[in-house]
Amino acid sequence: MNRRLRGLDWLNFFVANFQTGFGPFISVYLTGAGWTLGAIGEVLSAGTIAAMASQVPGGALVDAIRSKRAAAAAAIIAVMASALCIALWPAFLPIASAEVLHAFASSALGPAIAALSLALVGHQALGERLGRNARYAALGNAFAAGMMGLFGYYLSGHAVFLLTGALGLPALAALQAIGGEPSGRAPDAVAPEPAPADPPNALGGSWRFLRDRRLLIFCLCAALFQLANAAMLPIAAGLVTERAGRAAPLVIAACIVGPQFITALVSPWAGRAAESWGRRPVLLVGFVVLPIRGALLAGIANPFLMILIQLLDGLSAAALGVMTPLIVADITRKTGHYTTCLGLVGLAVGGGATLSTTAAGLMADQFGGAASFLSMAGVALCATALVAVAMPETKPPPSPAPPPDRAQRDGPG
Amino acid sequence: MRPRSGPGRAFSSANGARRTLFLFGVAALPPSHPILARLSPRHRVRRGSGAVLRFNDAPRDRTLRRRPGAALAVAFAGSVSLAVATGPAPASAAPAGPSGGPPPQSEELQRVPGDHLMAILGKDVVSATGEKMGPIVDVLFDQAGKPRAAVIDFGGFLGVGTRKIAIDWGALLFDMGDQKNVIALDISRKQLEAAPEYQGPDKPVSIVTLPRSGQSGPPPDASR
Repeated sequence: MNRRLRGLDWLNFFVANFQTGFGPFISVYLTGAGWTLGAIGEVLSAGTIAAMASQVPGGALVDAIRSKRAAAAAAIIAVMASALCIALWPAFLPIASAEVLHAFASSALGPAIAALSLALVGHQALGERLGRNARYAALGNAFAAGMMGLFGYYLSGHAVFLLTGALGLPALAALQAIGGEPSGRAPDAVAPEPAPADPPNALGGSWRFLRDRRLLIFCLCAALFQLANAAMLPIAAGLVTERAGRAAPLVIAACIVGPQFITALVSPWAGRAAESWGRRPVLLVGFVVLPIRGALLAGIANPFLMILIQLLDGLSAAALGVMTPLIVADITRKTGHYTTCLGLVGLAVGGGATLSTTAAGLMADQFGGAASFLSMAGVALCATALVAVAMPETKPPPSPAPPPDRAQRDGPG
Repeated sequence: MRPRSGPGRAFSSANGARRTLFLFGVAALPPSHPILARLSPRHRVRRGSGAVLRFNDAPRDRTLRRRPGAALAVAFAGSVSLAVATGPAPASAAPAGPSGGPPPQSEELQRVPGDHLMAILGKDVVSATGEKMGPIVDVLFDQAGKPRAAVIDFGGFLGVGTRKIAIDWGALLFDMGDQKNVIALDISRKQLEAAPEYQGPDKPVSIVTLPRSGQSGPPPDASR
């Protein structure tokens, strides 16, 4: 039991770790390989489109596959393959294919890990477990950014992607440590709602959750959140480059890594709070912080203070990182469509983020950084209002016996 | 002495650039485009098959390469403002004959030692103190087919927070000795930090120039 959960911890750590390499760094790498701006843009667009297109199918695939562990293993191997392909074969078609493969694999990997967690601990302990997942993922992100900074600076972009590919191995080892199919575990923890044991994809009643108002509102909230959030760091980092002189790379590194530590600190608390107070208050905290961050970034020009403001991002990331899989689990209880639904939310999040970088980038070019931060803060305020007004509590009503405000150990209502 | 790259000079580049030009250059140029009339008839005939733009097909495309205007139009059509040629191509081909004239029957090849040429896309530009300023990501040519500015990707960490800055071509110093191809920059870090960002060839471009020239940017259309 303990060994399995430890395995899940490390799985989150290493997966976050090797996913970091596929971020903005890939354009640094391709630039160094002599690629033109146009070609880099095309490859990245291909990746973005593939990521959007594969969110829902990826989630549905994980739902359909009985063994979530096998699904996760296949996705990890695919990500390793694309990292190696990028490292060893920097020509247009291989890189574009690797980006697309990575997008498909990622769309299955995240949901597979969430489904594994659910199968391991059941709905009662899911909040706490997801908090732990988010903690280890944040630590993995921070570690990877640091490592890649060193590797990229002292060695080459090449080395970064070889490292990324190699990090798949410990991820697979961690997956191995989780052990045999979790659904075969002691019945007391899983029995109430093992996702695969439900009526298999009968196209009838079990898809009703798609019309669930809670799901649609949550998707809208998440999309608006990302619309306001995704471009803040890049634009802030651009301003740091302009203002911080020689210290700029270090300041930007701090802006990236700092929030991850906050997320690592706060996530487990967010998971516990969601179990005792409910999902809504925690979600609201994560949303409220965003307009504040936007307004502060608009008003404060000192790059070193920007690091402190960016720490607020850690709070939002913790709240959303834990609440998203938790709320979706609440909504899809006993439907067997948990990961399909996660894919749907992923699509909303991805759409918001893509639109954000484009729109806010244009704003920043036209009217400057402050104006674009203020407009993002405005969008964030709308998102917060939407959560406050429209988003219902999804925590299932407690079963009659235990006191309602404690994390519960027995069956749900 | 500062080696300056003229229109006749060939750059070699990664295949990404070629492909972009090949994929988009052909489709984007209408058959009636005036630049096509300036190509040799042989090329005009082949245009339908896309052969004109096969840059990796070195001997056949020499005519195109030697006409900076043509190469430039192709480059702009492909939204990559960079005249690209590949491989160990002739470095200092003589100016082409009158437009529309028949191409020479026997193609000439010039062999240039590799260390006399430098591929510059993705190469880091260093400051006078040896500090990395960022890689060259694009080269902007003027209407005469001369390189006017290099775009470098300045600053940032792991690709986050970089700014694209156009710097005057004349401020670059190329050192190609002893296999240590270095591109040095006469412009201070402070000047780069203060410069407005390069926003693509559709917008007016501010080019950071040498301080002693006394101006911070040329007329906006200079680099178009």
